[in-house]
Amino acid sequence: MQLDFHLARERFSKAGIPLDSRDLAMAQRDFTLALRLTTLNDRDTGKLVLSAALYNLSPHLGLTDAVYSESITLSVGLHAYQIRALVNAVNAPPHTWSAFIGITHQLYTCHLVNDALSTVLDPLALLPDGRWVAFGGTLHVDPNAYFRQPETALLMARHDHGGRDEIALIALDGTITIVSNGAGVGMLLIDAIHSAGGAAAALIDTGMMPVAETLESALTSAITLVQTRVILLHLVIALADQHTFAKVIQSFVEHLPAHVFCVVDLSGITDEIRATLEVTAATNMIIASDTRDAVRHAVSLAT
Amino acid sequence: MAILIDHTTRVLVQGITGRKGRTFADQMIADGTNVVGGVTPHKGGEWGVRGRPVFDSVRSAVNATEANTSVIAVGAGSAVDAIYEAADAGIHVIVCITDGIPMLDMMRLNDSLRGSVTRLIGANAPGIAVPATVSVGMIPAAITQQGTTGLIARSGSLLMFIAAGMTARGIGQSTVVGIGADAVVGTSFIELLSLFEDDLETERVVMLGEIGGRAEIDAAAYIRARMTKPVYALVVGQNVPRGVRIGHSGAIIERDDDTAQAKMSALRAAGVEVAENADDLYAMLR
Repeated sequence: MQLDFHLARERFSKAGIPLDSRDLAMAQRDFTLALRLTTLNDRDTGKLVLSAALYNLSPHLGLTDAVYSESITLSVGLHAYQIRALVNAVNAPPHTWSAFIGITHQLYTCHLVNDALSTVLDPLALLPDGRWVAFGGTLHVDPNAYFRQPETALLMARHDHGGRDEIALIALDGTITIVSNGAGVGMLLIDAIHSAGGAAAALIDTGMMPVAETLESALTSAITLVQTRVILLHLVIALADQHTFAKVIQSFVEHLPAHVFCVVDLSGITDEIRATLEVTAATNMIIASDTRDAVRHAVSLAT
Repeated sequence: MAILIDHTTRVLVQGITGRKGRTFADQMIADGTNVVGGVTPHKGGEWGVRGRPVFDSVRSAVNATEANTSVIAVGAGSAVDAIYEAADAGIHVIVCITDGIPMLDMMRLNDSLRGSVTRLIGANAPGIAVPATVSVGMIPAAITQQGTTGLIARSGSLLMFIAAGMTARGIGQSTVVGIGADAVVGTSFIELLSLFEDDLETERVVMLGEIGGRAEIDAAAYIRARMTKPVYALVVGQNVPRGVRIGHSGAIIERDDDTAQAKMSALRAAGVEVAENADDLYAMLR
């Protein structure tokens, strides 16, 4: 989650990196060197990557292909030699090294303290008086770390109009809204719908082990999406209380608007529950025999 | 023989008195897994699910029960500490079901566990199951069947869906492993492919991938270089737009290598039979 400019500015400032508010176009005339300094969690190596990308200074400020990076093992931490390698690579004058090392350490600390996924100082410029000055910056915070970043969590919750919920809703641009207990199966269904000639309107993921309230909330969200023509409810319910889920589905179908269809595909459902659901099935509800059947019905009804 | 766990596995559930811990413990016991106890700080001395003892710490639980495997079923704020505690107590296999662990914590954790005797599966993982023998985590025995196909997936729901589909078609599994869908996880596809390659009961491997990260592409390189057993794959998210995060913290297309198409191409180039969809996969496995 990217912090907005003011919040990012406040976090950088707290880390000892005040962002300069001068007009960049005016200020860049004085730059003797400019770069984009980045820290990033690299998911593939499990290391934190510190990198610098060089800017061309004339005729216009533009990034070059020159990028230098150092991988940091978190249990070891950032070492001075790694920053020295970076400062050598970007050809910074020796009298500015100490300041550059300081600002890089501050950025690294800012990354850790804020549970960032990435931080960027862009541009970080060297002025004729030997000072390094950051003119802009962005900070992406890991939403998983909100539990120990209460201030950020609060601000982001306001921004999100309610914050994190048990369900995850991913808006797409079709007419079939998928409700599933797992994102992997959700993606499988998006692909299957696409192959059958349809398009998903949204994926609502209840998490692997939803309770009745979560499922109710997911289904309610599905019908409030205006583009929903068909709700494809797919639950792997081997772990769930099938009777409870059957009751939720029955209650939901009773209130299903006439213009919305619901196709139900419950892997692992018992014959007893299937029979119960079939008795109460409304005209705009179909209980599919398997996932292929569910997708076929959903696409056919949506088109 | 199977990989990671077998009939000698003795399981602890960290967080056994919570809702999820109780549910998983109950299911594992019902499926015949030897759950020897649980851990919940300040509740030591109580009796948990189906009469299993509750301990204050993993060390005291290991001393009393000789547990060698642990399931982490605590909140994201406590999970990392719980994993460190299990590793320090000498637990060999840790299955972390908890999701929502910060990425920096997982990166630090992997640094710390490198070179230790402990193998971490997850976080955000459904667990490991050896059909008809033992299940550690949340994979129900009913959806698995003894056989010779090793099954690995990032996504828990996809793993269960495909395992159930294979079982319904009489295609049994040697070991079923969900490695977790987060961006940074403890054990990779490559490590499990290597274990399956050496496993006498496994004749072929099915790998279920998804968008995001290089795990499948790195696995393709490994398969090309090292695997002698046939590998089959399904990669989901072929129609997910770029930049949209789909549920899992790792499932997002940010670079060209992140797409399902790039992964499918790399796997095909490595000699892997790549299915277009689940039915296609089942047909290949028959």
